[in-house]
Amino acid sequence: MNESELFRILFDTYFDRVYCSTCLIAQNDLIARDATQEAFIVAHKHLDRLQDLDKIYTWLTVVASNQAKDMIKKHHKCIPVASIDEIDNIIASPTDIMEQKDKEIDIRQALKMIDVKYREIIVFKYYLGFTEQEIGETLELPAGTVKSRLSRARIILKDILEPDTESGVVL
Amino acid sequence: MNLYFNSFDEELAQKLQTAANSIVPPDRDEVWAKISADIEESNRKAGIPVFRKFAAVAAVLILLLTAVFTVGDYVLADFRFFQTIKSAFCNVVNISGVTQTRDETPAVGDQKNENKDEQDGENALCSLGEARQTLNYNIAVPNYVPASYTLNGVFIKDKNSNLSPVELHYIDSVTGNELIVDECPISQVTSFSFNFRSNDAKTLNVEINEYEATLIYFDNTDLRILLWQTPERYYIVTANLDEEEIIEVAKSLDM
Repeated sequence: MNESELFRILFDTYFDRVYCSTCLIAQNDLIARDATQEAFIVAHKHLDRLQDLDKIYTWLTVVASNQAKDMIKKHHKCIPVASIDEIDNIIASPTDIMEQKDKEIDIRQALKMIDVKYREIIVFKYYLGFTEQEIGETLELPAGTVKSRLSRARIILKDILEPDTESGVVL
Repeated sequence: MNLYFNSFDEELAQKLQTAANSIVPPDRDEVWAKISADIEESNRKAGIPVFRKFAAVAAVLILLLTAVFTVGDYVLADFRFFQTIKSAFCNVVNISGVTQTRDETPAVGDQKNENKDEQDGENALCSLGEARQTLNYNIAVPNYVPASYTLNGVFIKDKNSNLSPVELHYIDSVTGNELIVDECPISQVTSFSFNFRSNDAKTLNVEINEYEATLIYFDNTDLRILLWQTPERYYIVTANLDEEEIIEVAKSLDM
């Protein structure tokens, strides 16, 4: 099997999963697609260094997530006309959050309302099943930052998803 | 409290799993095609020996320095200068053009006045007849535009100049989309620059009435931009039209 066949297998195996994780983090289909695409291009460049097959999925997800965060930052500076509605959906104002509270909110709507740094940590913890230590190592964040972000993200999400219950308690 | 949050944690994990299951990934073959094209392009670039890259850069520098030291400003004095430069670096494509004549380069003070005038009359459209009376050159008008498009007006960019660049604004009565034909006499000092990521856009070289043109297609917005130059003018047609239609509009311009 040559390198390109191996890479195609890698792509077929992981594309859908990496795309789903990135989509949860980016909350924008176009950004998720581009970021996942970029992650595989980067992976191809470093194919010879990707020896540990168990870690490839994590590695791809982290690269795609970083790409998505960069793209979201750039979107703030340059907004394609056709995507204005989508950008509005990425960052919701506090008023939007209050208005949304009156309606029943699903998890994807709730994720859209929180900052991407919280979304990322929530996806790594609850979707990918990482421990706090693994998150810290993967995202190169100090343990204290991981803990505080996770705690803050949970409180905000709980507030959005279950507005009638008290949650403003620091754990 | 921890127990309370543990149940919330479980619920959260479950909801995320359900949300992820409901995500429909894009067509894998389509993405694969883009990745393959990008990899192929990288391989092609990597195939150019370093010494050749240096040689190309050195040749351009020598050419520029020679022009500056031997001809100096006179290089712009008698010749109308127009250049379209296409370059690509790290997936970012730049297409830029500049026209300049030394005699017509405005002084700083003039530029301030121009900017003020531009702000005063910003986006004011006039009729084709008015534009023709104001300007000292024949405005090229397309003989073909798609049936649903009608001329909304002409925007004269600099009302103080009878050689001002103009924009013909057509509007689609059904969708409200605009078709803009931008034309600029090369004797007028002006410039333009497009930067875009090659991931989001495709470029294609086409021919418009024997002149080489570049067609840029943006995947995300379905927008097409067609740019080309003739010895007298440069043209930019921007619209949400398909490839054949935008080329037909361009070819129908009475150049």
